[in-house]
Amino acid sequence: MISSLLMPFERGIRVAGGLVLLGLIIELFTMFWSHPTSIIWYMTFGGGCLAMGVLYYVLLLVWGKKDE
Amino acid sequence: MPEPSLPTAIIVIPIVLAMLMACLVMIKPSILKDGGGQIVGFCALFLLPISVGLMGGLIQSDQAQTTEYCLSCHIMDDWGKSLHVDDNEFVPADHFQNYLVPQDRSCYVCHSDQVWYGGITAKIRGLKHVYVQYIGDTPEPKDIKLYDPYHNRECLQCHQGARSYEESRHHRKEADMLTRINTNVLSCMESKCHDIQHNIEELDDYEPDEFWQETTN
Repeated sequence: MISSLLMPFERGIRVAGGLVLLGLIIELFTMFWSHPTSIIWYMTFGGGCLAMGVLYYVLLLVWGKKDE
Repeated sequence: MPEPSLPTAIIVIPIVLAMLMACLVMIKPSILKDGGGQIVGFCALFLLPISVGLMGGLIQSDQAQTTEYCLSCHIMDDWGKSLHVDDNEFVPADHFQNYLVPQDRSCYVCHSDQVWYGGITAKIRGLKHVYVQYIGDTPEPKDIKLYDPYHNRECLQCHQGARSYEESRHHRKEADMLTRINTNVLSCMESKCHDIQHNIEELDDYEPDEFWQETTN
C-alpha cells in the first residue's frame, strides 16, 4: 500500500534530496542568525525538512520501485 | 547575542559537504541504482544529514545556555542590569562580578535544576518563554516569578563541601541548621540571610555610576 503512495524512484530521490537540501540551508542560516528564535527555526523548519527528506528516502529504499 | 563560536564555524564544513552530496543525488539520482551509488545515496540522504543535524543541534543548544542568549530578550534587561549593580548584598551580582559562576553562563548555571533532567526542563521552559514572547501575553517584568521556589540544591552544587560554607558560624547558629539547609527545609534565599537577589524594583534607586563595568586590559 505504501509503495503505491510513493513516487517513481528517481523522482522520489530528487524530492528527498530537495527536502534534505532545504533543511540543511535552513540549518546553515540559523547557525549564524543571532536571534532568540534561531534554535526554534533550526529544530522545527530545518530539522523538520531534514527528517522528512531522510524518512522519504528510507521509505523509497524499503517500498520504492526502482525504475527500469 | 553571542558571536558565532569556533564550533559554529567548524560545522559549516560538514553542512556544506552534506549540501553538495544532496545536490549530487538530486542532479543524478540514477547513480543510486548500482552498489557504489547506493553508498553515496545512503551517505547523502541518511548518514550525513542526521549527523550534521545532531551536531548542529548540540551547538544550538549550547549557545542557548549563554548569558547573552538569555538576556537577548528585552524583557530580561533589568535582570541583566541587576548583575552589574555595585552592591555585594545582591547575591547574583556578587556571584557574577566575582566569577563565582561562569559569567558567560551565569543564568543557566543558577537557574537550571541540578538534576539529570535539568537541561531538558530548562529547554522546555525556554521554548515556553519564546512562545510567550512572540505569541502569548508578555508579562510586566515585575510580574515575572520563578516557576518553583528556589531550591538550595542549586546553591549547594558549588558551596557544599566548601569550608566557607560548612564551617561558617552563620550556618551553625543552631545545631541542625546545616542539615536543614542541605535538605532544603531552610531556604538559603528566604531565611533573611541571602534574601537580596535580583530585586529589579530596587535598581532605580542606584545611580548609573553604581553599576559595575568590567575593565578590559
